[in-house]
Amino acid sequence: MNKNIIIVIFGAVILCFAGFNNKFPLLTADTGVYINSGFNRTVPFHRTAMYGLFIAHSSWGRSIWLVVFSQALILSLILFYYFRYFSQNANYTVFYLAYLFFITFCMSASVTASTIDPGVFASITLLCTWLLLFAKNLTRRDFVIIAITTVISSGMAVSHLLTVMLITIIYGVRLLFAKRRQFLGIIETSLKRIIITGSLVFTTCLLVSVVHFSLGGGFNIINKKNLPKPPVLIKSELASLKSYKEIAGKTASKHGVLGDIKKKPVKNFLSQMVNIKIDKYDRMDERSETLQAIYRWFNSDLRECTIARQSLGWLTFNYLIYSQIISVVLSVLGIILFSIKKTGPNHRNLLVFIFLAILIQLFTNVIQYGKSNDMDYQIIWLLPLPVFLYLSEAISIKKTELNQLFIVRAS
Amino acid sequence: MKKYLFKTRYKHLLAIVFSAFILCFIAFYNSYPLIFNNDTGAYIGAGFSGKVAFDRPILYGLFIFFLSFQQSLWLIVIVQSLIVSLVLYYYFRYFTSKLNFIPYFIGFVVLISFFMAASFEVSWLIPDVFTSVSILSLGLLIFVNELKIRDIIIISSLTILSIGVHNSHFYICLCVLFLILTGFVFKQIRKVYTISAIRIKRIVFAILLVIFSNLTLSTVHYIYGGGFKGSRGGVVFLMSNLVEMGIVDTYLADNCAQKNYKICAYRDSIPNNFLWAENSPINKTGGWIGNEDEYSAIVKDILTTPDYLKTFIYQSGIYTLKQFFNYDMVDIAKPTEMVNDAVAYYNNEYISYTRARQSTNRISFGFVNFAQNLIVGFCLFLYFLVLIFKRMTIKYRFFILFILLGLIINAWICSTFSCVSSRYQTRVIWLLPLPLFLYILEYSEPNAIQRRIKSVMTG
Repeated sequence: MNKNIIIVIFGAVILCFAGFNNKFPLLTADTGVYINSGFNRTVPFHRTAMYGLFIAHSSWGRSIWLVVFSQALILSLILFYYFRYFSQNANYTVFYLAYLFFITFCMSASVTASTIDPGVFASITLLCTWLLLFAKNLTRRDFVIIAITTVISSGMAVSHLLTVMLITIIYGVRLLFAKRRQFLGIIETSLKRIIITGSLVFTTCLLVSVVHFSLGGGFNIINKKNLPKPPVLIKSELASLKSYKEIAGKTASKHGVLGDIKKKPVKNFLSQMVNIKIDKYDRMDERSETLQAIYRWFNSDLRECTIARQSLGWLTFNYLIYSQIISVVLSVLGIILFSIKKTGPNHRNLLVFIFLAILIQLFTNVIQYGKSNDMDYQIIWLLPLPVFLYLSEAISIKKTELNQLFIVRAS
Repeated sequence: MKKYLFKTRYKHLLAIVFSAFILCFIAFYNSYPLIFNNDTGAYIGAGFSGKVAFDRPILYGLFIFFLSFQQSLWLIVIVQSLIVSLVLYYYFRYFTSKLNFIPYFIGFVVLISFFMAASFEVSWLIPDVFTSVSILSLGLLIFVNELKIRDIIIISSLTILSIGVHNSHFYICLCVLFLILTGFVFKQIRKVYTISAIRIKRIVFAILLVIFSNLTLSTVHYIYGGGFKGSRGGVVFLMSNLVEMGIVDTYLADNCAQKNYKICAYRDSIPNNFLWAENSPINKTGGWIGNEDEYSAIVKDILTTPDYLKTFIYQSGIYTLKQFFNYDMVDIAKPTEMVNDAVAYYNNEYISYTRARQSTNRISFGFVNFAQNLIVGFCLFLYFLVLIFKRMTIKYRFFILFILLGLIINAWICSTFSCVSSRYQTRVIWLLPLPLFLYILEYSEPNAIQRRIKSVMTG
């Protein structure tokens, strides 16, 4: 088998670490909504139907683990492409793996990839957009893979779609101004790339609308028709309507449906920026829609689910949170240091993009969901990416210099 | 010269004792050896009563009974730490050609004691620490050519003891050895073996030792009235795991109409904790021994029906991965009555036992668990690079593979035939940095670096 394929698969397995450690994929209060929507072929309220369909198809209707594997595999592949096309180092796979291990064991990437939630596709969307806008010499096969991934991942949530849209617009405008004072550096975009990315955004909008229409939810990307209905009660001892109402109310307010959406967006955005805790993995209530959905659609996995750490209330991320904070601080310091050292426009473009993309993603989330959304920890691990790219190039340059020195001395 | 040799021996002995002392760190921190609920009680009870239990070998019970001199459980921790320290010492002494290995040996022990699970395992009154001892002992027998006769005897004895104390060790060791033996069939791998100086003779010797260990255990069981049988309760453990995997639910739903199993009466109320829950069908329908035939039939039927077998193989893969990444030190609950009764055999220690951190719920390993995560991540990253880009010498690459094989097979056997429990992987995870330390010791000298630069300079 090709060495690169082995590396990407190994990377995907490592990204599932948090899931394996929990003994079951991590679940959120919304997981049930997505599972039910995917298998019932309905459009969930205030969301797109894409993630539900992704669950239904990638799990083959058999095992929920396959969903996590698929997510991790896509993320691993896109990160691999990133290092393949942007690192100048011949041994880019070493830095790819170093970055992957770092974000798995010191940051929250693995937690994000192991969660049955479309959050992981936020970072995939950002990386794909970056590749589409800036990667040079993309092979046809890679381009097709990245384009398809962009369409699928940006369609998973409205905020992802908005983010790609805004990024494309911003870089389009920037290109207009940059024409006058010559764009510098290896990494640069072009009108063609902007048009391609824009057309992919349009394709996504179209696809999501068609999917919603075919599922009876109207030709739009946000379904505002169907208010959440109580799930079909599977077992009387598992669910009661009264408690469901409480849970549904909680879920809805969590996503801003009941009020928090458009209140104080700027304040919410600012508080969101500094909030990188991982705190939504509470023990699931037996009557929650998530457990009901697991019971109904992944019945053979139910026993595994009930003995998972999350279900037993043993799941904590205290030290991972500290480590994440330290990693973020170190990344920012590294980025500042590289900026002072006047790194090439290559890195500066990437730094600007990563910062911009993270801010836009957070902003679109706040606009859509309100302040209680946990998007920050789901994408914050993109921050060390420029640092690793810088290191890969710096080491490559040092190595070349050293080799030249040896050759001079030997001669 | 004699004086120098004596001094060196004295220094090495001191290093072994000092390392053993460091390895006891968690027991000191807890103020008493750690206990694992019910299991520790069962082992102590078996040792004192001389009765062979239906679910575990008696050897570890006897180990506790005899080596504690019925006086102090601290002696068990001390003996366990000395064994681990000695086996690790052998690695640093025999595996590399360097004479000044003591600082690296101590450094390694410090790392695995303070930042990994080694000290936890050594301080625990269950036979889990012997899983690592058995894997390490086999490694010495396979990889090291120049073992002294005295050391071969010591290592072989430790192999026999360590395999006999737990049901799973026999299968883990046998699987590892047979996999290595299979390598001799392939020409390419045979070449690697030749370069790494691995001889078929030594592997066969190791296999014979493993078999001998099982025979010894069977004899011990026979002497204590438990019949000539090595491992115990295997089918019931597997049945329990099949329940957890969800396969038994499907099987019973499909077959209860045709087959008249006792368990069918309870098929809607089978608890996850099938083995130990009070309301489990196993306790209502005749216990472990009373159900062995029925469960054997069910297990056989499941494993020979393609549909169930497919699910079993898939689940086995997932469970192995889950087990491989589950190595947190979490099983440190407050002791139960059963353990209290067992520790009461050591009357003079009972007060310090009740005042220990574990008994008063004042112990947790959050930081060590996280540090261990980082070390495991780093080692896996490094080893993957080494294996895929073929760095390091063949001998070291093969040793890394051996350790990884030990870890993977341990994860597979435990998770497939028993259950996924952090305990099972904690017992071996601290072996991971060993090849790295040995390699650093072999190649880290300044001279080696100078040699490499010179070789580059001169082409």
